[in-house]
Amino acid sequence: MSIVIGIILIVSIILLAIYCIKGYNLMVGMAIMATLFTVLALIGNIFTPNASMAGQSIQDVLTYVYQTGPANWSSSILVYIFFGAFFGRVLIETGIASTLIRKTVELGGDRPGLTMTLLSIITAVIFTSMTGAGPVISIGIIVLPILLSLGISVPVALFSFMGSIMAGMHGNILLFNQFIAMFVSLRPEAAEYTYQMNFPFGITCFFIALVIVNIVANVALRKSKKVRTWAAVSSDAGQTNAPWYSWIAVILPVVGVMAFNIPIILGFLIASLYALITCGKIKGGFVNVTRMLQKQFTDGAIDTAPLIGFLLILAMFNNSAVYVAPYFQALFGNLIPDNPFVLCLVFGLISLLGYFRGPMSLVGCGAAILAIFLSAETVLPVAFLYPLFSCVTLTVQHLDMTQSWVAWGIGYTKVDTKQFMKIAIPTGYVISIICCLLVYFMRGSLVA
Amino acid sequence: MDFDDDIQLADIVKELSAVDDVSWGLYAFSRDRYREKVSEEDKLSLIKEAIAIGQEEARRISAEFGSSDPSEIARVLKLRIDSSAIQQQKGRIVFATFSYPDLITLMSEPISRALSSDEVRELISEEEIRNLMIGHEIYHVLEERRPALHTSDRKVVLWKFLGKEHTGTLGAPSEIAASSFTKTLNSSSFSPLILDIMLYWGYNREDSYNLYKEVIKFYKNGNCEKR
Repeated sequence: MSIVIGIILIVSIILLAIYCIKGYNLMVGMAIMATLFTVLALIGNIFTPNASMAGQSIQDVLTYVYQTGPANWSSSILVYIFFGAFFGRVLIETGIASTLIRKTVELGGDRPGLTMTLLSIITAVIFTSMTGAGPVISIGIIVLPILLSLGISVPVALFSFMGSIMAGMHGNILLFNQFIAMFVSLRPEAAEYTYQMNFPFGITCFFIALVIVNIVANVALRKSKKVRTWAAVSSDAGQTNAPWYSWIAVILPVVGVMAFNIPIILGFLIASLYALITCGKIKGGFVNVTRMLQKQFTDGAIDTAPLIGFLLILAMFNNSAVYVAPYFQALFGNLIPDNPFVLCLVFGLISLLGYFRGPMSLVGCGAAILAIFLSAETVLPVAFLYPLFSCVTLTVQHLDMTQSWVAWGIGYTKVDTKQFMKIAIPTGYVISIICCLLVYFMRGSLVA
Repeated sequence: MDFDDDIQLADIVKELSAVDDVSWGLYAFSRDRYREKVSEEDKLSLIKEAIAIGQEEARRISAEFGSSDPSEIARVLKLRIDSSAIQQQKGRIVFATFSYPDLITLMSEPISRALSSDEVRELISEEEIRNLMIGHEIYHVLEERRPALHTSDRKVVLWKFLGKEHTGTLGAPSEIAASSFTKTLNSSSFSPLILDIMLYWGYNREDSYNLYKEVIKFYKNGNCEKR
């Protein structure tokens, strides 16, 4: 029976991948999957007792999936996302993000390749602290027209921008908290694995991704044809440059966590306050200032609303994956390599399956695969598994059409999707393989 | 005056038709990524020079080819003219592109959206819009093929380090000359840059109105200063 349910689960994951590829709503897809996993686990438990359901009533199981999942996720992660989104809004509204970009363009001058590379670096740095479709769009509508006005072709410009965001995400503190929460729900001791512990690995991946994205973008730039564009552009005349000393606000949250061990929410608040003060936005009396702060928080919440909806449902899916883990275990339990090098190599080689929210993506079917690993008899340490799972997801997910802001970028630039994917997929694959091998070199010794 | 739904495009266009080319040039300059690096005096000088170069080149090319029909000139220059459907990008609407070495692409959606409005159809025809766009892009072709046209190599100092200057090329003179070129070629009574407002109207009336206000501000400031 366990084998049959295991096969049905695999088929359902394949169907989910097809569902994703066809571009249907992911939040609804994940809700269906969470329900399917739960129902299959409950049916399986009737025939063969399921160890993960031991001592639990049906109500307990339903509560764990539909209540505990989103509730725990909300209490541990949602707050980070809201405050991160608030900080993102502050960087945009103070003009710090756009000033950094304009100054970067001046630094690069007439050399499109150099300007593109510099913009890539600054974009990656900005997205070590920010995430969400709102901030990406706010930065994208500044960066992309600049790249296009330099005569850079649309696929190369979009790839450079999205690739830079992907690189930044490897050091992103919000995404670390989001992913580690998935580990904690399945193995509570994962809570001891902190952002600081992961930082040496994350920052190395950041540089690897940034270097490879820029090599590929610059090679593609040389091959592409120069384009001139006549476009009507809405006014930005009212936008002034943010003072130079305000620019460090971008990295303050990460610096605060790394250097002073400040809680990240406080880090976001301090950085936001610093940005608002240095840019002269704290003015006009108490009432006006509070109104402005309220607006930034509201706009930030709106920016991340679709993401939060999806992640709340994903939390249900993650918890349902706990109950079906024994069936995956029955199918694949003995297939998980215990040699760290082989495991890292296999992860790298099959990382392509992370595209379209496939089984190698933690924000897709990969949540179920994670459950298998965390419940496997071979106990692999979180300090090894977290980098392995996260580096693949962070790389492929942020170059994938199913990522909300990549989909936005494709629509915004009207790029030929195939042209974009022809650059993005192979590059993501190479970065994933290198990062997976890096896991072996940096963390392989932790596996007994 | 702030935007309201009673504002008519015809009234805006009528007012914009009276705007001089230098004011349109200042509007074009306000989109240049290095605009802050150029003094107002230099801006005016560059704008006037670009307008003159565009006009002169249009007369030269008409005389040389015996035609001022942009499609005919494009044919003689062995250019391919294509059209592409494109939607609005946030805060930015693309009208036409020139891909080196020989492809002009006209975006069909802004034209069709604009012409779906009775207000716009009464002011301009599809052929006029297409000719203005093709003429504009032809100038960029000529700029590429004739180094003597200096509008695409105007430099500005971006920064200095240890006595070494790092320069960047201004984009506005090239765009201003292209507009001047197509205006002269098509014997248009108004600046082709008026299309920025007319075609934007089909997507977002308030943004279009804000563009109009920008242009009028340059125009009024210019009149005060008696350029």
